[in-house]
Amino acid sequence: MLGNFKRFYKNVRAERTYQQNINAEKEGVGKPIPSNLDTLKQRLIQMLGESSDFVLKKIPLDRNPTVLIACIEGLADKELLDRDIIGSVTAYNSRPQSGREKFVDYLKNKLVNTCSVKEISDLDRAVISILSGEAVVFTDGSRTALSAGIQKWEKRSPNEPKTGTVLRGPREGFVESIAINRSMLRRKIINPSLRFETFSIGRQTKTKVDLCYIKGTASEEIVNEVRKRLLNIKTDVILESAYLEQFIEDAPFSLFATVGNTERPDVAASKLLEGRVAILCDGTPFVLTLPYLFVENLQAGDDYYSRSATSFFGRMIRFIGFLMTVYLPALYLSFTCFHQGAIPFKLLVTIYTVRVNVPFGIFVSCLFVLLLFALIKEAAELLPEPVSQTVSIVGGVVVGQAIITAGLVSVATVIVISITVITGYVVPELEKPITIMRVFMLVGANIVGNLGITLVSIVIFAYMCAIHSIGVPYLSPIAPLSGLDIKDVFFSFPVWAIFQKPETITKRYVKRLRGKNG
Amino acid sequence: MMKKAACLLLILALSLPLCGCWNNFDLDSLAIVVGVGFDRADDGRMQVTAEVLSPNPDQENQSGGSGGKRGSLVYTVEGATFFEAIRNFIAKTGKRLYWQDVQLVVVGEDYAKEGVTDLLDYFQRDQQANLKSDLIIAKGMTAQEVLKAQPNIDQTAAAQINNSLVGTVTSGETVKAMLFDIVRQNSALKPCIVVGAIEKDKAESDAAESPDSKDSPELMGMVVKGSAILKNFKLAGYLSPEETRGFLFADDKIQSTIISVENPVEKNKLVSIKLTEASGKIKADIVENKPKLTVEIEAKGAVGDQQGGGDLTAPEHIGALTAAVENEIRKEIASAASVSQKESGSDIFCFSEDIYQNDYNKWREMAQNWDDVYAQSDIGIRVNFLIKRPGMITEPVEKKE
Repeated sequence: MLGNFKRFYKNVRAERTYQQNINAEKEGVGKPIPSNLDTLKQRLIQMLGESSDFVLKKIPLDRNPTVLIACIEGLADKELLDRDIIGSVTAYNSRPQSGREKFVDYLKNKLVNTCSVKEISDLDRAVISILSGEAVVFTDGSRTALSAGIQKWEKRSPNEPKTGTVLRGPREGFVESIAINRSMLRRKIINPSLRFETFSIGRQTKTKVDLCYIKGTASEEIVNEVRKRLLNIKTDVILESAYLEQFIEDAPFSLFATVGNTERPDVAASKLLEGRVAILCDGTPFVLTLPYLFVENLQAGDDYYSRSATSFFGRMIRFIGFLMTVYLPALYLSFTCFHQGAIPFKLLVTIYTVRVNVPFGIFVSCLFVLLLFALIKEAAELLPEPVSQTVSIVGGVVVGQAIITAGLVSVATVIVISITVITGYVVPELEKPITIMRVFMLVGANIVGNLGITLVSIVIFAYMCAIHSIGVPYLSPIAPLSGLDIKDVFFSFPVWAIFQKPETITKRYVKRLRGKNG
Repeated sequence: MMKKAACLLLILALSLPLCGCWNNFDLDSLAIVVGVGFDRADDGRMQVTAEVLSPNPDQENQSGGSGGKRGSLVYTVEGATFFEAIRNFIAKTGKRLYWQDVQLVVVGEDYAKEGVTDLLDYFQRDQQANLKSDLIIAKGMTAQEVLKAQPNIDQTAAAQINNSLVGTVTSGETVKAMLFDIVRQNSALKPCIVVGAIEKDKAESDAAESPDSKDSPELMGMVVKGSAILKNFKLAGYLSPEETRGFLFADDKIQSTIISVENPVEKNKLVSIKLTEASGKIKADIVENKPKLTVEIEAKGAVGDQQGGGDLTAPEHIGALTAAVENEIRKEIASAASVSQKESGSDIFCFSEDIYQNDYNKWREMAQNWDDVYAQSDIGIRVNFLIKRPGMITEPVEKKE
């Protein structure tokens, strides 16, 4: 059944790609710019409609052919438009006729001081230029137009990201502008091999997407594969890097993400330096990193910015937290319903005295409390901050207390599930798969106790072993084991001790320059 | 791919029946047994008393009396066999009995005289039962009386008795024997084991029988003291606390205890010696076709406290103290030996094993009437004691005249 489903899915994908390719080819046929300004004006209005933000300025000149300037209000800088473009045009008009160069060359030379200038001879390209904020200058009787990059719009300045916060470390985060993001990476890595390859993806959004890698460090195969996948994307809309992620990931139906994302330039830079590739997407501060392995879920920026001896404990806590949050409810269920003898007597007495006279079984009450927490979390996430605090207080404290007092769910269950949920936040990247794994484990435990937990674990582990991220096994460097890379898995060794780049990603031994002792 | 997945699922599914019998019992469908008692009912049927944890200790207070809140309920049922009796429990409690955490097994005196093999059978046969529970004999009482007694420190009678059993064991005045230890006697040549005993405290039981006492006596009126000899799994006699300690010395089970002897400087005053190390060895030789039995004790200790004055570190006083302690230990062992020889005729020290190992032919000759041979044998006792330290001070504080 799974196979059939996969085949069906593949067919759908192939079909879609094929159709899109055909459409793309049709589009590719360039239409020339009409030389008559009136015709051009009509064509432009026809293409862009009577949008209120579409500005057409016709400047009739007495000693020169009429000039038509087209731009979008709000995207093009008004000051530059008035001062440089219109100013130059009128200045040209007032210059003596003799000995002056052609108008187009004159304007080009003049504008080169303030912005980038391109010559366009294709109407569709001209329209796209207008829509991306450039001002396009058409001249009567000419088939070429000039586009001036005078885009200017409101941008957020880099501030501290909400995800992946660190106690010690840089406070800046990526922003929505791809140019600023690019500059942030350039500032971190001053290396001529740092490459950005720009793509424009999405027929309607024309989103700028950058494939970023360090040539020579990143494996050629990985870069080629990612480039191929990016080029294969045929879609209308790319609004966020998550859209891209869904097109390029290896295991689209997996619980686990095989493409990572980060909001932090330092994290992105460190991944690039390890030989990974990053994908920057215009309009979002989230940068994708590839390949993304399971262990990266458990690594945090703090591990590298604090002393290695103490960050070892931090990482251990995250490992323990991950295991606890997945297994705790299931173990609680299987121990209380199947293996009572394994509970120490005094603990059994405690659980027994709070457990009795509760209307629902442990399985149902565990699911109920888990659902309750999930609902509270969802509500608190979606609401604005002042209201979300009320929701979490009413939901967590008031409802939780009332449920226990009313005797709907035993105190022990609430304690177990609360610990489970809290420990879940130790590994925020894995929070969503964990929620589902927990339920699988609970079901297994409810059927055959510890054996059920074992069986579910085997299935999940086998699945994790089977998936890849851009050709790299998801569980590496644990499985397959890599003796060199394991230094950054269970322990985080001091930075100077991790002297080689991860061989599982670079696929060969690349020696890093050692920070200590040269 | 599909084949592989199917294979994996099949293997996982096949592992399901491997775990044997399993079932999903929520905790609230169980009655957790903490103590179980065995008696013989008047009509000869088996009477089983079980102390189960009260599911709601705050609201139910079975005895309704003053004192601590009891966290347990006590049920007594009868049945032709033990298994039949516990089946009857379900009708009474509405819950399955849960045997894994039984803390204490109490056997009434009358029942113990008939033998405990029948009850051991269930505990060995049932997959749930726990052979690590301690067994105790109710001296001069029924097991029901013991379990019904009102606990005043712990929540359950079983836990309180168990705790005081553990406490008394450290002073060497009783013996802690698990069901497992008793079962293990099955492979002994002459099964004989000493187990703990609980009895009514003379001083306090008088007070308990005053007019305002309740139906069930408080557990304060009972004391875990001394031990009982199970010969061939039947109750054969009791050892007093001192005799028990004597037995434990010989059995190499004493870790630390306190022995009080007369102060060699001031008569009628006592000095307590705290034993820090003790090892006991038994030896059985055959001399002129007669067994010559020996108990050897090596012990070390320190002065624990001193009544009256005097410098105990003087050599002559150390000598006197040592002799007194050795004498005391010898006396205790001798009285334990005499009880085992004369009163119960049971070889609690297991000399038989020693003869069996050293002189098998002689053992075969004696095996038939070993009880008589043992009762008539001499038991030599050799004690070697050494005082290591006077404690933190040498001389006590004295009144200045």
